[in-house]
Amino acid sequence: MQQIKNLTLYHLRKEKRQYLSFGIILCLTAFIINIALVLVMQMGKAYDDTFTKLNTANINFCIPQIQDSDELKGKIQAVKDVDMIEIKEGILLSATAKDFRGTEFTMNTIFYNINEVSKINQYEMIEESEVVGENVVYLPRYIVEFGEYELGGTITYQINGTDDTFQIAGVLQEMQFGNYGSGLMGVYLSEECYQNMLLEFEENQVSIYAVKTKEGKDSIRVCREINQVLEGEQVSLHYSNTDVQNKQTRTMVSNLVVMILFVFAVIVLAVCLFLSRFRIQNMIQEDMTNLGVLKAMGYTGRTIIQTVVFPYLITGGIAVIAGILLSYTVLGSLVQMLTLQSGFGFKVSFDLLAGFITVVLLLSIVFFTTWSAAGKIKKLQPILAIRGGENGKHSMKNHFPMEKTKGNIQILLILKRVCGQARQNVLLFVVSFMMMGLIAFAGTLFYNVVMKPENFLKTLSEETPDIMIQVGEEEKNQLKNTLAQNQKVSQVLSYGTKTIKLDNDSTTVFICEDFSKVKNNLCYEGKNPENDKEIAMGSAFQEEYKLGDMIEISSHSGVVTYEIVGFIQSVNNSGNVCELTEEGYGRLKKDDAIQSLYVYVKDGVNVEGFMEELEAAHGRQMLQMVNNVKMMKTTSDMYSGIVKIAVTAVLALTTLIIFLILYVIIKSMMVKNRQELGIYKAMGYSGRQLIFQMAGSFLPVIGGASLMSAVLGCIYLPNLNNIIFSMVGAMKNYCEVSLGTLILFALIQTGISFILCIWLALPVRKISAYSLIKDV
Amino acid sequence: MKTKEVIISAKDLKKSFGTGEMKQTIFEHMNLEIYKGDFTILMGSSGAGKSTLLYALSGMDRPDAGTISFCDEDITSYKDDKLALFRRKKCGFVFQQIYLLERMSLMDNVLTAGLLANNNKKEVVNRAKKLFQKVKIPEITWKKFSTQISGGEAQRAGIVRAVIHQPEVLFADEPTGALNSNHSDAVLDVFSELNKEGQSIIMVTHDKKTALRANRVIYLKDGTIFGECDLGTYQEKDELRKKKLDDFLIEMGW
Ligand SMILES: Nc1ncnc2c1ncn2[C@@H]1O[C@H](COP(=O)(O)OP(=O)(O)OP(=O)(O)O)[C@@H](O)[C@H]1O
Ligand SMILES: [Mg+2]
Repeated sequence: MQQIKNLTLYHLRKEKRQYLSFGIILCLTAFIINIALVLVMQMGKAYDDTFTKLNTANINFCIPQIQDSDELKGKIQAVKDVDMIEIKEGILLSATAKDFRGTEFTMNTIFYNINEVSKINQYEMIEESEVVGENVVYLPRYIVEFGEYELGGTITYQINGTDDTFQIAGVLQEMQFGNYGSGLMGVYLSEECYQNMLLEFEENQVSIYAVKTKEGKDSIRVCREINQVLEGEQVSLHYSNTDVQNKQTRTMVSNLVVMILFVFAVIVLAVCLFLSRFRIQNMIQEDMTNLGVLKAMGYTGRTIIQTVVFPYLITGGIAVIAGILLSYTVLGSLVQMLTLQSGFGFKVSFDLLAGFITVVLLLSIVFFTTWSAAGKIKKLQPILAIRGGENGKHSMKNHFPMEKTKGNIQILLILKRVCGQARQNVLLFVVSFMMMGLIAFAGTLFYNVVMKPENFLKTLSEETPDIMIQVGEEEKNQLKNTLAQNQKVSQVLSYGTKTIKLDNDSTTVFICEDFSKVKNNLCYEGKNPENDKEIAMGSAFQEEYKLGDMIEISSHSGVVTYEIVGFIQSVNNSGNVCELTEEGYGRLKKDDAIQSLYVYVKDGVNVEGFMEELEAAHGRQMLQMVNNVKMMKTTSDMYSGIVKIAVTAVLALTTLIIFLILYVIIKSMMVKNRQELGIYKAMGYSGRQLIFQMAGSFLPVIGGASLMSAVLGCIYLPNLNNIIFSMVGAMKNYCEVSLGTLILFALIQTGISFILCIWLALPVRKISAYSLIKDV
Repeated sequence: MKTKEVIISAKDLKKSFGTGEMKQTIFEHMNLEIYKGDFTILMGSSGAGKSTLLYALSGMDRPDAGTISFCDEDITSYKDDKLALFRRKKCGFVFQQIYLLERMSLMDNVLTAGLLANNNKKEVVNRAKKLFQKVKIPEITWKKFSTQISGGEAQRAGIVRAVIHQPEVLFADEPTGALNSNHSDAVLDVFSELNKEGQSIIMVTHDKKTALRANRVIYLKDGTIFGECDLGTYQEKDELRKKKLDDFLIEMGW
């Protein structure tokens, strides 16, 4: 053991900096993997725990109160696998929150009475303040945190054109709705306040059914059966959701972040693996003579291998643990940002299992790669080793014989060097290739999320006009024509969303006069509906149906049949959507025309100013006008805020890792060539000539690998993006991968490597020829 | 006797290694002149500083103090790149470990040095071929790698590489130290022949037989030139020279 200790220390001391950089890379890998693991392990569990603790319903649905009855309750209780039902009353309104993150934000909101106690769908008061006055509201944390409101402060809701200001008396955690993606928000009013509102909006009073299903039963199926019952009873359904869909929408962004981190970690890990292998093989070659002497002295191959592997394990062990600990410094704030989006928070606790997995995973990879790389020491004959390794350790071909090859001696020497170091080249190639892949991956995400956020948003959102106008049916066509002729308007579309019953489930339907004119084409397979016989379905239906199938939708006037011509995505509704043309929808419901116009302004038009003009000119015709650009910005923050941070971090880490890895590789190549450099120097080659020779010999390999990777990245990255996005339900993404940018990245990487080579080779100028040769 | 032309003149040389407690001064106030056309041998016990002196004189390493004038150029004042340029023209080196570049053939080893000093490829190649013939390395071997040839062949190729650019001085640090006596003689013959043609040579050796080749032997001890001996021109089987060297070395306490 003592021998191993001594030799291990010797190795560690000999190349401190190399182990340091190796350590840093491993530390970063551990850092990322641990973050991803902790999120995966704790977020889902914390979600489920809170869900259970608050006795959250598996299914929530909401019907007009006047249609509710004990008889209906009995029928729903009778649905198979329904365990328990609780009914609460509330007021369902479309409420626009003012000053929501600096803008206006419209949400369908249920106003509850805080004094109505319930067993199912409890809430947990996180913070509370003293109540003053009578207009008192208790908000879910999503609205407070994401909307940037303050406890004790006020929030103003615009409902049916009138503003109402409330004091925020409490922040609560509830699991019933959660975030904007769930389509409905729950807000609690004080008793007095609730009664006042009820007086004003009596016709909006609803019954909210909270249904617990029996343990382990499929809530989506039960929900469908309930909807069937409601339909049979001719009860109109305002809203329904299930725990499964809710969890998916609320954790969508978190999952996206985790996915990105995982992909990143896997690539870094692979690079790490190559690197340690490379380091060891190089070390064996450099230290060949020493190893031979040790063998001659009677050390067994096993002992020697251990002394080679140990320093890596020690460095790795320390680095991985440091990385894990480091990850907890950012996990807290990361979770906070995720909370913003998901509307549910939890405290990160130290996760022993995640740490254990990270340690075991990384160290066993380090161990196996180093052990296998060191394995050949065993077979090495001592005398061969002393003589400097196997014969034919270099290729025995004299590339570019000088006698015959034309050209400058400098260039000849670079060419010779490039060809002479085949194995190094392979490694350098692989590493540059993977590094470039990493840059391409991180860079593409960065580009699409941070630099061109429209791409990311289009992927996750629905149609994105500049202005949305609600208008009465009689006024619609006239207003549409007037607007279409306006100089500042590029297009006006009759577009709207409705809810229909499809397969006994309430499904959002996007209705448009002409889908060929939309900005955000949701269709990822097939096409959008073009006539009244066609329908495009959300991704949720893809398992049941295929293109060309006929689907029957029942309405009051009978059953209508459509042909499925395409599949569309909608991340927010978990793919539970469909698309119909205006005429197509008309077949289903005659008297229910859409009452909204989507207005697209020309480039450079100030939307806010234009809206004021419209208000002045057509204010009387319009019911409501929404600045969607502003809305989009808020939505964009909702989705991309955290992803932006994650992606920026990934890009920064990538740059750091690339720098470190190139450092390790080039440095060890320099060390290896030290004696040779001395010989050249003795012959009279100047430091500058040698530096350019070294750097020049790395250039073709690094450049070639980077360019090749850039081109391949351009081909395969879209697939990777597809996989990542489809994991969160986006079947189609708008991420652009541009060859030009990737090639630019490749050139930058090559340039940086070149400069790095020169920088690392600089000492060659200072060291005398004699000591270069001698101190190997 | 006509006075010899001084080719290297070292004044007040000092060289030490390490710092602090580890600091070890190898020599101090060293003065030495080397003459053109001479075959000068440096001898002395192991660790006396022979190699250190040799490499300082040749501009492969820098002295801590003192000046070295080489062909009337003060090389101690030269910057690193200028020194390299200087070595390229004026110096040739032969090492005990030979140090051929492993990744190229013998011919390319030689051309790597030759083409650096002279762009005229044809001229350099022709000279290389002649030199190879002179050191008795057959054409078939020119294309081989250093790992595929014997130690003697390698060292003779090393000499060809060292003199391809017609240096003013050929420096050699125990060039026969790693060779058996057959090989060693062949290598030494090359040196003698080069010297006969006028090549100035400075060589470090431990070997009396090798030292016999020289016309001047300098003995280093305790960081000073302890003594020197003029042997006159080398001749084979010259008992008188042999005796003179023996006596000198005994006197030096060798
Ligand atoms: N780079 C160095 N760092 C520290 N000490 C050194 C260094 N190079 C040489 N020395 C020391 O300088 C002294 C002289 O070394 P040098 O190589 O000149 O001896 P030498 O006379 O050539 O010996 P040998 O006959 O064994 O080759 C030695 O004691 C050696 O330990
Ligand atoms: Mg020596």
